[in-house]
Amino acid sequence: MPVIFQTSYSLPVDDYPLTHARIAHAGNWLSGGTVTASDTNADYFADGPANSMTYEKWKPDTLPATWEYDHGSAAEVDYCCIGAHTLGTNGNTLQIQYWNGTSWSGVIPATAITTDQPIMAIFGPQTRTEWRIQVSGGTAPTIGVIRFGKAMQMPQAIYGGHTPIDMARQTTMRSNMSASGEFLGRTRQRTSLASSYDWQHLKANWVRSTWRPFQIALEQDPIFLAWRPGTFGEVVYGWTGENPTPSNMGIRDLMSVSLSLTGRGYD
Amino acid sequence: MTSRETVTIVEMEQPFCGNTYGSSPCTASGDAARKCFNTRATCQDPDNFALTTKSLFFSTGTVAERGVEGAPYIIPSLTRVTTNPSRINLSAADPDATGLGTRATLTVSFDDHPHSDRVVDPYRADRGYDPMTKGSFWTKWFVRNKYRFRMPIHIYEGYAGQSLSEMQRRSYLTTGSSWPSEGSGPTFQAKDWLSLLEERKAQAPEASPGVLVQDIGSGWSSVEVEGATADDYEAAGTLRINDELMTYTGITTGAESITFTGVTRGTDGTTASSHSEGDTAQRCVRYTDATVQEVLEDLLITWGGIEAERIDSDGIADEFDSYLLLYRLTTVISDPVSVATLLSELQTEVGFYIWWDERAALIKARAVHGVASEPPMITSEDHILAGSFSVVDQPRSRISQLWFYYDIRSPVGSLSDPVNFRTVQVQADLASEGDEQYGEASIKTIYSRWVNTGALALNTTSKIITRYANVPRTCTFRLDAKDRAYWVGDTVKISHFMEVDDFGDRRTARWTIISAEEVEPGHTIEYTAEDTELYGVVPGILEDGSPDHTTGASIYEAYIGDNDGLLSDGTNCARIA
Repeated sequence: MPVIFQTSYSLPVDDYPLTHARIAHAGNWLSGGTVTASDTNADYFADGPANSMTYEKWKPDTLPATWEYDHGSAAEVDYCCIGAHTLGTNGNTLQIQYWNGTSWSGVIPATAITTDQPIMAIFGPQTRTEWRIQVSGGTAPTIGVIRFGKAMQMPQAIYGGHTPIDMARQTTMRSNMSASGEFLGRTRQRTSLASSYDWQHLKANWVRSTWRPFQIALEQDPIFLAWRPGTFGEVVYGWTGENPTPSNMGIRDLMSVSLSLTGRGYD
Repeated sequence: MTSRETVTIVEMEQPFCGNTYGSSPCTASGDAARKCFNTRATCQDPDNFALTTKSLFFSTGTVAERGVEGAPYIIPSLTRVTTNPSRINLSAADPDATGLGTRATLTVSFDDHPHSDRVVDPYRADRGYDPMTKGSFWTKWFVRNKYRFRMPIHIYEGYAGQSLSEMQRRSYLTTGSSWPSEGSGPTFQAKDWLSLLEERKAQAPEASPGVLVQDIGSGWSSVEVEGATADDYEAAGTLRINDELMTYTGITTGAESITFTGVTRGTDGTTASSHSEGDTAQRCVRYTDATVQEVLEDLLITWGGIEAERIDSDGIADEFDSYLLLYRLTTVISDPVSVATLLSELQTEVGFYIWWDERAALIKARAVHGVASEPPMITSEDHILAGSFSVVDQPRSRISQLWFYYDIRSPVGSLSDPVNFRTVQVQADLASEGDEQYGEASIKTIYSRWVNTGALALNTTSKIITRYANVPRTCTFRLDAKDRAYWVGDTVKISHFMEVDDFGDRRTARWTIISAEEVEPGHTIEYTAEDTELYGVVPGILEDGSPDHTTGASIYEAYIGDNDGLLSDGTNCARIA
């Protein structure tokens, strides 16, 4: 569910299949534009979601509410990612829209959000200037990150050995018992999610043209990653402690790379 | 069963100006991009700086620490919180601690990171630059907050789903900060509020600046001093010049001097004599027939600089009115003495203890007395964590003889010279010094400037000898957070399989908690308690018409005994002291 497709979504001809990962990163999302919100609670910030820090959030006072990004010029967009949000907890319905010159037009259907997992909405490319999300229903949520852009697509799928990051929970649990063995209590601490993504048989030219800019973007900001968007809903808003360096596989000009991500936990 | 998910939030009350740049009363003006940051170090109109505080919240960033009601903006840069608990010094008997016990300390460490300047820069929109690209949160904060000491820091410990106000809060004051290395963020050190009473910070009285303008004779009834203003002295009070005390009824202010009028020379057992130009006229602190609470609060507030709202006045009144009403204190303090020393004296000589309750953010005090109601029971079966219970003897706290010097002759004389006291009360438990018991004497000498009557001296010495003739014991144990309500100053009964009588049967004893610490916040609390079984119990007098004593009646109720002072089951009846 946190991967949301446009109604009757049709894979663009030149795109890789939806069994391949989609990545939103600082090199492919829109930035530098203007942010406005229908209204903002006094303790929160309308432009909070425009930066990557999950603790600087937007929260409307009244619903329905809109958060709008005006890029200032037309740009091609095929995703909207939302992270560090409470749309599920607050029982909200989400719409993603662009301004067509006369009115706001939806690119995904109004969708009831049921978890606080990061969202990657995927739709056919649209070259537009103004984008927005609309939140309705439920109670006022908080949202930490909203990004629009054109996704990076991995030319290969991920195969065996991958742990879906939603199940890679980093939780510490401690229990207490008395001298006579009575159970006295337990505490836990949820911190993050952690998994790695391995790709093989990547063509050398693709690695040089696409992976290297991604490495640079990864040094700047966290990313959104949906590892198999057509099949599974796992989306992560995560970051890495070391840059994923590709290496030659020794088979023709093919290369492999491993990306370790720490993801923001949400439940 | 639902497990508990722990939350730790740190709140720093950063000093912050309540004015708006350039708006009256602030007269600052200039380039919009160079406005201040509403801190004293960056202030461009110091005369109109209006001190308030701004709360900054930090967490380690675990899932449960997000969206805490009451803290909308939490920076997840907290890396470590370390605390050492305060420790009560019951009756100031521990020779290895100060009279005020051991101060609670806090160390908080943070990561450093780029920051948007939201919340900390009220004029962020006017700057014309992107704060994320300039400096880091703490490098900027340190420069903007040069005056970051004595800043309240609160630690909130709670569970997921709780609002900030529902969490357990502990409060401290910053005493220092450091930046251990380039690759880390800063660390702040803090202590509890009683640290304000440390020797170099609080004296009573403070040293007076006034000196005699001219030589004065022993009969002069006005005294002129220079180098001081009337504000340096009480409107009417007591002065010390050399070894003479004198009272005055008023002060007149001249062009370059002030004059004390209505002077009565040679008071409080001192002799009127001549003094020379340049001799210091020292302000004195005088208490006359004051209650213990009056003296305590005067020392804390007037001389210690502690805000009145930080003192549990109602709780202290309840306690002192019940157990220390006999004590009326009369003394003159004629030269500067640290407030900590004076409070330490008072605790020992009157029989009470004070401590900083980090949770209530209050200074509390309790009289040394027996237990007046049945304390709650904690057991090794249902409460105490496996492997956490231990007992330690405290032989250095044992007292077999107490020599209590009281009724001071002269407030200007030596406080450690027996000759300066009219009377000594000697209370001893000589049997405990015999070879079949401890085999040696342990003598404690007290020179009291506060106690002036034999009745009070006897009361004090009896309490101390009763309690400390035998070697005191302390125990340490840990409880699960379900029992975290127990805290410093509470008395509990402990039933543990290591605590048995001569026949090996389980015995329970009363212990007073002298130190408590959440060693694993929200999960495990470690306690240190002192065995207070020997304090006995304080039974309450029953209402008229109450039924006669029966076997098994509560020991906390006083029944009338027979002619031999015995109750119906042969035990001793209560005694009215």
